[in-house]
Amino acid sequence: MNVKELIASGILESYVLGLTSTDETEEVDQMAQQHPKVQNEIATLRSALDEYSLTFEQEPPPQLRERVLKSLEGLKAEYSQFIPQSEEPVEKVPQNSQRVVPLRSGNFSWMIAASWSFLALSLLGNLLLYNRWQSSQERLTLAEAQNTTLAQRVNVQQSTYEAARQEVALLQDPATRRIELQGTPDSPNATARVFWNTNTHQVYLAAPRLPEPPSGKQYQLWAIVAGKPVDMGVFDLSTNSSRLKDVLNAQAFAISLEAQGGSTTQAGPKGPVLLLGKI
Amino acid sequence: MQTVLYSFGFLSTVRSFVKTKSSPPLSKRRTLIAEPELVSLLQQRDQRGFTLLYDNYSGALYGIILKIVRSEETAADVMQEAFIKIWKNIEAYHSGKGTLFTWILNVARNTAIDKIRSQDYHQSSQNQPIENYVGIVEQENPIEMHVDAIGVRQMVSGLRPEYRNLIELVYFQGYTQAEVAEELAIPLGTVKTRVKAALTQLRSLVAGLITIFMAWFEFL
Repeated sequence: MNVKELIASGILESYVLGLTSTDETEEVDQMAQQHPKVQNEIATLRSALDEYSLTFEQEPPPQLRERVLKSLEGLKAEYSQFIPQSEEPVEKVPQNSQRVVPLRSGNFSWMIAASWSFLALSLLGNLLLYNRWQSSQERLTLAEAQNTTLAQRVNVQQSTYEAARQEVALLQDPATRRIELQGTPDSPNATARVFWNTNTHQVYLAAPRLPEPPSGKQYQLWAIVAGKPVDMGVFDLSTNSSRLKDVLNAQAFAISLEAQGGSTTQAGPKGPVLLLGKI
Repeated sequence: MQTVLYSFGFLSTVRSFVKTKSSPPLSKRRTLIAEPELVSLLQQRDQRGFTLLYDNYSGALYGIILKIVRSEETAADVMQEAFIKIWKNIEAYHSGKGTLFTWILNVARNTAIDKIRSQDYHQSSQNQPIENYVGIVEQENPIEMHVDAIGVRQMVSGLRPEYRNLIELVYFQGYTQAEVAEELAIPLGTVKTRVKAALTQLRSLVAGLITIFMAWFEFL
């Protein structure tokens, strides 16, 4: 019989209950000696029976202690010549002991206590790790959000910078003309500046000093080409400078107040012309 | 490291609290000693060893004896007999054959079973039909137990009645398998199967105790 068959056969259960025949007992003893697994199985079964027996635990009458211990002392006197004498004094024996167990319950309650303690430790550990994991998670989310915000800001900065760089390049370009627009009698205090590059034909409007347009109205820039106004696009006052449409050739620039969206080249300016600047 | 100390300290506090509540103040002395040292004391027939043995195990042994013989007077006699047997036969015990507790428990159990199976005990008036044993003994057993015992007792109450009865007959009344088969009017093969099943359940119930401790701890 191999170990598996032996354990499955139920003979070990009979063995710990003292139900096996002499032959069977011998076989189990032999197997237990050879296989730790069998030995463990027997120990577990025995421990279960021991624990079961302990459920019937009951304190004996107090006077029984004296009676039992007295009778043993009597035996000692009777048997003294047969008792093996140890050379070592008893007190010295316990020195190399590693295992200290409570007498009554054997290893079992230690196993329970140990499992219990390990469980407690593991729970504490889990709790700790869980808390740490959660705070890491929170910090990560925060960092991600910050990262996104930063990236957006960098993008904005980048395009602002790009625009500024182009403006600077434009300003430094010798082909760039600067045209000061002066207020017409309709708005004598208004001023604005147009930069026009005669090579690239780019047109920038800068530093417009105009009153905020009434609602529903917008300012529009015009280029005067061959005596006729050409639409250069509308602009807002909120930005200090804005790039408008390109123009090939111009004699003058003008700004008029138009309805929202501006007027077209065909229609020409419909509102009053407020600023004018010749090249 | 602090966490480690804390949790162990906490557990032992709980344990000792429960223990103090459930054991009488003076009569129980719990001495810690390693088993090999105790065995060595016993084998030299050192009276200190037997005093330790008595102080630590008498409740368990007396409980089992009383359960079997069901008379306090006889139980006291059997207790004395069992200790004398332990004294005389301690040489036969060696750790390879299981724990010392298992061994002395078996000595006490067998002594008690021998007693009730002996002719003169059978003729005594205290004899009762076996079917009545379980309930009576459990009712008679007063409540003063080790904290583990309370847990196990609760767990064991989950043991199927037929298994409990079987363990009763075999373990506490010393029936052979053939006698059990006759008593319960079932085939011998069935007895063997049932013995295995009974111990398997008992074992899992005792192992389940750990789960209870866990649940309790988590509840805390």
